[in-house]
Amino acid sequence: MGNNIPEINERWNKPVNRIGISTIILCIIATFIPSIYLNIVYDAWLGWGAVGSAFSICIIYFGINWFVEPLSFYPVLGNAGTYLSWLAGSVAQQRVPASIMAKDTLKVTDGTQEAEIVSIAAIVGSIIVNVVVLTITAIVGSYIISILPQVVLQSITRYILPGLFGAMLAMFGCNAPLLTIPLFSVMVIINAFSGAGFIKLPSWSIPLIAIVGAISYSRFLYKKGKIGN
Amino acid sequence: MDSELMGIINSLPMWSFAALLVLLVLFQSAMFFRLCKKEADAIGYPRENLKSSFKIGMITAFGPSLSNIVAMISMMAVIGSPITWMRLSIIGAAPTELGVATLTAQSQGLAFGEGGFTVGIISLIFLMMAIVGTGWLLVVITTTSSMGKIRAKFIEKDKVWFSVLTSATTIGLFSNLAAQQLAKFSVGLYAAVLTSFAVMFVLYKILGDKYPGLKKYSLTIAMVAGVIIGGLINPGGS
Repeated sequence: MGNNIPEINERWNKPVNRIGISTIILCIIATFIPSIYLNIVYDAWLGWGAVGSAFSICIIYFGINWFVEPLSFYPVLGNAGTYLSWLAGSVAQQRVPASIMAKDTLKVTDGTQEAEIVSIAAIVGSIIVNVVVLTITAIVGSYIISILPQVVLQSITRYILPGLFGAMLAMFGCNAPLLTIPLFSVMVIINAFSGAGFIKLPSWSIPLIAIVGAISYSRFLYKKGKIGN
Repeated sequence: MDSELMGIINSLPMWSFAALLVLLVLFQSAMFFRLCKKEADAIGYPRENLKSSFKIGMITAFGPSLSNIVAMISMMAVIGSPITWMRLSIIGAAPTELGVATLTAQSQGLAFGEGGFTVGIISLIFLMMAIVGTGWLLVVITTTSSMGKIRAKFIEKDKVWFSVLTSATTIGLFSNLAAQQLAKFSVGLYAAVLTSFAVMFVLYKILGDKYPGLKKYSLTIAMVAGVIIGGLINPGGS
């Protein structure tokens, strides 16, 4: 079932864009309120000079990611998934794993409406969990941290994301070892060389190399009939 | 950090601004979930499956969501509980928010978490967090709809290739994220990545289809195994 049948367009695509765009605009406005409030009530404004210098540093670090990240995750997330995931954040850590796990467990094919709604339901579930965990932490977090042994805390901080990435690699990689093994090896080398300073690459370009490499190599394998059938 | 400043950044108005945003995020989720249920009825897809998908999403994100806790506590001490709670519930992940706060403080000649913060600096940090987050959101609301059209054409033209492309992008993203960890040359990190990889492989690929209940929890179990083995081998890291 194609996604641009007029009926689906009216019933699904249009409301998705409407809900996504309107809620995001409201959120953008709301994120500025705390700062405006402090400026008005506590006379906190430091002047345009301070804003300019902070902004220019931040844009160097994050500006390119504004474009690269939403586009890289787009094929996995789709329209509604993109609106939900970028508003809620933690895209690679929570939204993408939730979406993929659900699509895989319920055995729906990417590109169908079934896959679309299964993915959205899972992303919504992941957002609820995140909000609940954060809300509990905001209230009793300091207490929990104070009773946990230092070594446990350090291990969690240090190893929870590597654990996630290793597990995610097993989750998808094993479906397409022909693609994963060469790609992963090349990425280890690139990251190691760039970390050691042998090659100079801006940090935003490395994920891009991984994605472009993955797409081109998978196209090659697909044309050869090695994957996708 | 003086107590007057802490009073301001943890005040009731701050909690209410933060709550407003968290509620907006939940509202958006509710709207999309409602739309999913309608769509499920329209295409004749069982609502039961949507419910189990929702649960799978909750279970899968639980492990990863814990990774925010430690970052959250350290941020709370500096910029206050309400705004930390708000920022981690929206847009970027913890590293982004900490990054913005640190860079903003540096631009004013201060180090994050070492005191000397005034209400002016805090307000500037809040402003920068809002601006940086807005960058992502503006790109998302301006490009998504046209990306959707391109995607639909792709699917129409060659559905199998689209599905290969989707998994290839995901494999690319996570190959790089896992590779970054291995490229740091730390025994603990090797152990964590390899353990979680191996546990996931067994639970998900080998046992998963036989025990679907186990499959749902596989990601969290694999992550916990990675943390335990990494922690046992090299607790402090290096």
